[in-house]
Amino acid sequence: MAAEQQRGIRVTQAELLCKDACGYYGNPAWQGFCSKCWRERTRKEEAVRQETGPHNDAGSPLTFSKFEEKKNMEKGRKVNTMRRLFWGGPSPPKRPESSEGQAATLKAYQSIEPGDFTSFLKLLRNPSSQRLQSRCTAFLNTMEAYHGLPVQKQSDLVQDFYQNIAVHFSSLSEVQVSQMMEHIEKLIMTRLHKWVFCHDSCDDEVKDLALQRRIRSLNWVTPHMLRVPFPDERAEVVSDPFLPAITAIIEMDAKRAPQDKLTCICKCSQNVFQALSTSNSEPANADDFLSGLIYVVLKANPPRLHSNMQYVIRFGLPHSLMAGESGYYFTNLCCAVAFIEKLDGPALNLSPEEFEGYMQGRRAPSKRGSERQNMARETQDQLEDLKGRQEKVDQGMNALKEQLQHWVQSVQAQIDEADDVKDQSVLLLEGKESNNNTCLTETEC
Amino acid sequence: MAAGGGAGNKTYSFKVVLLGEGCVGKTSLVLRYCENKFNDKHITTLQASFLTKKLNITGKRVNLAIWDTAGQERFHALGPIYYRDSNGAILVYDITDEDSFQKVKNWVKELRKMLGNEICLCIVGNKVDLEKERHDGMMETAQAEERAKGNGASQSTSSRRGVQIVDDEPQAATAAGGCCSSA
Repeated sequence: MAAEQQRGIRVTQAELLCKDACGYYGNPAWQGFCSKCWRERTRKEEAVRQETGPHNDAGSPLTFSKFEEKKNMEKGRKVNTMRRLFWGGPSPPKRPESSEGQAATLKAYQSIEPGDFTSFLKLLRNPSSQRLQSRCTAFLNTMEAYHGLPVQKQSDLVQDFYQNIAVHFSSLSEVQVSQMMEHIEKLIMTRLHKWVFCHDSCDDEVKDLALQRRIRSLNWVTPHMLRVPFPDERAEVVSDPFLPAITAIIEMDAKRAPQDKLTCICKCSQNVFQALSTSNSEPANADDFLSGLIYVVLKANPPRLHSNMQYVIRFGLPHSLMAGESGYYFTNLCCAVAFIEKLDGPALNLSPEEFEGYMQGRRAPSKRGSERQNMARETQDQLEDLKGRQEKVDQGMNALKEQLQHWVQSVQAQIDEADDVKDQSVLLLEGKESNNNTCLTETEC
Repeated sequence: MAAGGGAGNKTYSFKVVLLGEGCVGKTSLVLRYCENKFNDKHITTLQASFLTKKLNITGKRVNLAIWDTAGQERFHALGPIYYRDSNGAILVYDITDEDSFQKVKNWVKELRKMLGNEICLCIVGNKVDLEKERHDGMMETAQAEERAKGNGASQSTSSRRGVQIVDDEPQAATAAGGCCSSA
């Protein structure tokens, strides 16, 4: 009987385990699988369903957008041929019925918050902005078809497109036009990035490598040599104040649209000003800023810097490059790169011999300061680590205390309960006994 | 684009570069002009290298973007990158420092050679409050020089006293615009 019982238990245990035999317990709610296997199965099933029926399922964004793209491409082509047939010129005629819808769309465009690219895309999907969308799609298709053209030609095409499309928004105010153009730029260039960035027809890649090597060979340059206002060595140095700026400029390569790259440069520059303000109470002037930026570029050695800058020059919106704050920062970055390329001894207050010595690695800059900084940083990290661990221990202690209290309480409760039961059973027993006694006495009687 | 063009209620925007040797007071000058402050604890801006100023000249809205440039000798070769596409240049020298005036003369030559008459120049002798340290005959030379070149304006200023900070406005045919003296 004991053996049978054991077998029974064993059977149920096997049933409890996951059906995929992964060793975990299954759950009837997941059809006998464990949570992990169940999730994997459902995901697979979903993928199969999406592949088989892409047209029914509008929720799958990738396939659907492709489908719509094709549709628009066709439409754009159709419109173009119609236009050519009827009007012979590239200038689109204004149809009275569409102008009303267009006005409504323009109004909707006006309400977009600056920088809100998602709502711009949503509006672009509206039927009323069909023309704008088909123009963009048609242009993108042309550009993709001609991606073998020299990059300068492509740049001209894109810049022409910007000018033509700006007419579309001519009824808006200047600020709004530039906002819309930023959206258009982002839309176009995000798609074109892979075709035109670091193009085969130019020697961007070679220049990138040359610049990278040049920066690497200048790794010995200290902020002191560049005359960057740097926090005093004696002062408590936590970390390089220029670190946020360095991170920002490295991030630039990851962005696709020229304006996003410019935003990274702006962020970097603002961080440079922030860092300068820690060692100088007066507002930073251009000399301080430029030397700070040069230091940041040398430290960061941003990936594909030359390509990135050329890309912004070729495909960025002219108004954001020539005027405005972003234009100023971009110009300063150009200056920094030009300075680095032509850097020589006198510019660093070194004699030509000293400069050569550093370049060939015969001299090493005094590492003392940086070593001390590193040590300080390490100690700081260790302290942080210790602090975290201490907190964890404290938390664990509190939890344990609570658990102990709970346990004591539960034990107490159990004892109380047991006592009660005991009392009751004693009473019962006593009662039974007395009953028996009475019975006995009764029978005796 | 930057040149403004067009008519009506359009806002004109111009790029103006500040050129001059280090320590002639470019930064103080631009801070005084844009914020009317001099070496003050109340200066809230983190930086004085890119500043904008909105103006209204005979009913036309004008946005000036003032670019400070690095003036130290080691950065001299970078000048062309800075002044490319600019509509105006303010050339600043220190009236107590003859070298800085020589630099300005060189700048004038270079700008006229590179940009021709496209650019509007304004020569500024800064630090007139240090008049007694002025080198004799310098101002006269400046004016003579500039008249010969034409299309320029010469001013003497003091950022400390806030004397005659003059703005340079290319599109408004007259070279010089309004004054904003405070002191």
